[in-house]
Amino acid sequence: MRTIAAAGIAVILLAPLPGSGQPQGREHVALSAKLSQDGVQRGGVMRGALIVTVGSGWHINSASPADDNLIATAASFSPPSGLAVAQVRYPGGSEKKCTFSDAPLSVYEGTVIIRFSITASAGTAAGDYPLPVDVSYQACNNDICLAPASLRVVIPVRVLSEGAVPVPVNDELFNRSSEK
Amino acid sequence: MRRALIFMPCLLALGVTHASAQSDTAAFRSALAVQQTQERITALSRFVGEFPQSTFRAGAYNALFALYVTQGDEPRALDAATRYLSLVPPGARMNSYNQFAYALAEKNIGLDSALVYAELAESMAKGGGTGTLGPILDTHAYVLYRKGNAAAAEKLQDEAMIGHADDAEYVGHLALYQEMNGKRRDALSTIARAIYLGGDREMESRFLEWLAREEKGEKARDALKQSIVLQTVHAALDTLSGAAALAAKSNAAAFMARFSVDLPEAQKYADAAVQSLSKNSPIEDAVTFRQNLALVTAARGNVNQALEMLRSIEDFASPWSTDFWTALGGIYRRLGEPDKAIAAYMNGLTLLNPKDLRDSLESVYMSVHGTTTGLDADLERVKEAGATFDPGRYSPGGAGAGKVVLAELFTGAECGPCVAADMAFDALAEYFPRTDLLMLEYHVHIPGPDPLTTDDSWSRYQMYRGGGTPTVVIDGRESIVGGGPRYVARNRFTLYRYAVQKYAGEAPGTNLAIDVVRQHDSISVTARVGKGGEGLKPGPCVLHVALVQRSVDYTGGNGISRHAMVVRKLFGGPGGTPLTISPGGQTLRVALDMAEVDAGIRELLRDPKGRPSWPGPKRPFNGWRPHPESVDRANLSVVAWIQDPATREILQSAFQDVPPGMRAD
Repeated sequence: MRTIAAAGIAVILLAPLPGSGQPQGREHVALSAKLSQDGVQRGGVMRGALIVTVGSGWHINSASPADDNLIATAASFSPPSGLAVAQVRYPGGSEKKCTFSDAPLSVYEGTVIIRFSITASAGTAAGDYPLPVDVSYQACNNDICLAPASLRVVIPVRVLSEGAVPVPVNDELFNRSSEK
Repeated sequence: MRRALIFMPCLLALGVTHASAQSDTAAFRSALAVQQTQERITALSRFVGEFPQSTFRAGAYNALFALYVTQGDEPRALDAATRYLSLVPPGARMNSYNQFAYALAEKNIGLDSALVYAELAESMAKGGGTGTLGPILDTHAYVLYRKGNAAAAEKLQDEAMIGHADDAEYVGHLALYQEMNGKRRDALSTIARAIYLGGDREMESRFLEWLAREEKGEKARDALKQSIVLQTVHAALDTLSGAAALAAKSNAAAFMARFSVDLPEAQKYADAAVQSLSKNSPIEDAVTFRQNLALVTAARGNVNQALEMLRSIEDFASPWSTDFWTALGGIYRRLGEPDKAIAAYMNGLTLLNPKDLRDSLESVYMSVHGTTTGLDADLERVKEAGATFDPGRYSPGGAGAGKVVLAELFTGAECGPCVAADMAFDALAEYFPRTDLLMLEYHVHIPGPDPLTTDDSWSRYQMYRGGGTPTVVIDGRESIVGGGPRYVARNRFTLYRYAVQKYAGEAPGTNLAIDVVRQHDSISVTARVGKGGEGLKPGPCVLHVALVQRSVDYTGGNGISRHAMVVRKLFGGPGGTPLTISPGGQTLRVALDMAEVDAGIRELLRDPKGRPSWPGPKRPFNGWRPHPESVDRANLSVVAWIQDPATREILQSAFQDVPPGMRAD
């Protein structure tokens, strides 16, 4: 049966946080980001998506794990002055029954999208702003658990000049139905 | 020491109150436990009627859906799906839509509904809260194919395969669509690649069937098969080098043997991989490479020789290695030994349930017993034998060279897969006397907080560049990573025992003897190092000394309730005491105060996030389970060892119980 558990070979797209101390497991999870527009107007809002890819056979805890002692997947944004991040929405986890336990886990497998919105304040100068995001997670498969780890992606956010019109991009991720 | 193991059903996660959970939980579990399909349907239907408020109703309808699909009962399956979905919040339905769509398509029933479900799942994945894109697109494409729209399926599958190009199931699906679209040569190449990537027997049958359709003549058909198989192999090997190439060659040899293509070349590939093995090769490689050589040997007609090869590695093949058990069972069948074939197939079905293997088991079981009744009960007994076993006793067969091997286990009380490793570690302690093997158990906060963790344990884990929990490091030289549920304990024990025995016969790199003295609450250790070691390796080394609690009662999330040889503190910290090994020998003395050890433990328990052993500074802490607050002074030992800091090799180890002494108070 095809389940969400199936995923492809995970490729490391980004290095783990310097100083995070635990590189192991990085090849099992990859992180990238996409935005809904090529830029945001001053005082305007655009949407973003963090794409977390978990390697085949592996899982990470969802943002709401079944047990308080398990480490939730969490995104931490560090917006520069003039930008704000809000409406961070995590997907619901899928229930997974592992061979080592009777209790079901709430996990992410395969490709998971964390959505958020970026607002540029009215006084922000036009230009490019880096938006660093750290996603922390903890991965296991059926026979091993890895230390908690983080991946970082720095999203280039362009604040548009007065009068410039943003161009929608990445429509496959941000089509009309996602407006709901 | 045999550990107690308690599995704790996670009722909180299921969102039921404790008071009401007892009755509906028991009823639901009991309904699910019914073996016979129709009786299970009746039990589940009764459950949803009797417990209209139970949160398990969704699970019951989900199970009913699967059972009705198995029976091919489309109306009831769709009704169960609808009832299930009505109990699930709209935003959480994506996985269920996907699951229902695939199940219906696989059974080739309710395809219109399957398409609706697949489209809903895709819509949610692309525009909604979750985005598990690949599997959902794969399902959608498969439904389209089942509905006869192979062109759309193939186009969609191209998208589904982004990031899944090496997944046999995705590649196999693409081959189906290519074949239906009349691109048979493409389909043949694609399905050959799927088989190379681990595709099942159904794909193999399909490959041979398409070959027969493509080429009617036997000679031409055989030539085409050879050409496709060799193209697949070369495409896989051409981009690889080093160890990866050797593993790929071994895999290619098994693939070629499967289709009896260029067996002499396959033999060369398989031989090269086996010849690359050394004493320090990972045991997993040793098993896989020899298994593949056995497959080639069998394909060349030397079945008895192949059996001998497989038997030589049988004890090391894990329950995860379904390929191994399939091969061994197959050879026993060829040799007319069905009982042994059944035993082999059952070993491969302990943890996983691949259809090919299950079919093979049922077929041979039926041929022996005339029925498959009793098969599952027999399988349970095989599983249990993996968890409950007598490790026996070590008999070195002559005077040893005096080496005392050190085995270090890195584990976590919240770590599910650590159960097998923890149990195997206990069995190791029963098997080897302390004159041959000393053991240490380091707890770390993986995957969850573990109150037996110390900063020293975490430092040690990092020193070995820990690859996760569980990991066992033998004599600082060999690392065995991974565990599993309790059924894997015997297999882990066999691997650990093998690794320990490899080093037990060596001459120690130095001599080491310790004296442990306790005065009030202070413990001092005098170590005499170096003098008279037969295998003496002069040079800079480090003396490490661990204070060990022989037994700690603590039940973590994985249900293990008693932990053996737990490291509570390293004398002198994780860096140990540097020294230079010399023929003349030397004496060193280290000491620690138990009150300080307790204070350190209390500090870590009070603020684990502030300690170096807490991985990930932003990781939240939500409290401990009930745990011991201090070290039990009546239950202490000291383990010391000399380690080469450059190679991490452990030259010698020593052990002594801490004698009883007066408390400072």
